[in-house]
Amino acid sequence: MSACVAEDFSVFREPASPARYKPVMRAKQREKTPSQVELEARLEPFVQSVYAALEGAAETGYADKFEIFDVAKLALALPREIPVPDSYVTPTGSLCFDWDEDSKNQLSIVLQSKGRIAYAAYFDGDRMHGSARFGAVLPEDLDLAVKRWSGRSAGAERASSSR
Amino acid sequence: MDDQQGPNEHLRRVEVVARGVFEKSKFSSMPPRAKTKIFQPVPFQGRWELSTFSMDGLDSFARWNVLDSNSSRATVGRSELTCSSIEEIGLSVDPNWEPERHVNVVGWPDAEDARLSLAQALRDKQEFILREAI
Repeated sequence: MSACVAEDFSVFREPASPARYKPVMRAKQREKTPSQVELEARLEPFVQSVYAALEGAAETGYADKFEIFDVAKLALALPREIPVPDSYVTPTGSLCFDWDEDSKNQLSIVLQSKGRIAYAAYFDGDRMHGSARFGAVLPEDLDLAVKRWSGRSAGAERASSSR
Repeated sequence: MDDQQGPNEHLRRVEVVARGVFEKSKFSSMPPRAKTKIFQPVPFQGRWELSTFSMDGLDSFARWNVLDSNSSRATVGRSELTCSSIEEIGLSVDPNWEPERHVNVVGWPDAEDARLSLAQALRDKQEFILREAI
């Protein structure tokens, strides 16, 4: 990621609760720089999936345990090529991202409170899981799992398109 | 049910359970299979439970009926799990028949990552049946 984009990451730095995210972003529209526009374009699909999850959980009153800043951090720590996840709020109020179209090749990441994440991956019976405090980069074992997941997904896509 | 069984035999022996799926967004389409979120347990009275219903001894029509009658929404699919596959990954079934045929899948750990991992395993072990359009 370029230094310019990293600097402009400040557009997400206000620790708004998810419920406050939309108004905050609307206010920020007037102040955006070109690199912020680029950053936002990259995050947009991810954020849209979070909106859908929050709307789904609106009646429960969940979803106040994480901050939208963490969503942006997570999205930026993931490879650019990773598809938009299926997002939802769990019964404990965490925000969960699943990449589980293929039941033999699954990846899930949960944003918990206080900047922690939990994660699990499943590769045809081979399971891994863990939790960690989340900084700017993914924990090492999760990073490996994301790469393994991406490699298997790309392989499956190639196989399906060559048929 | 087998006539040889005692009156509460169903409370001890369950072979196949199912979860109803009520929204298309909760299953993937190719091939159709319920998504991981369907297999996430909820906290109840100090433990984690995944609510299911016993399908033992029922034909397909009756299976839909059980799931329909325990929900306010129309069932669009059902995800079936054998109890042996549940036990294989370290979970167990706790049939309470409240309401009739209700079975909890229990034995979930407190750590969210470990529960997530088990939900992923259940997703892979399911047999998913998509309801035909009426």
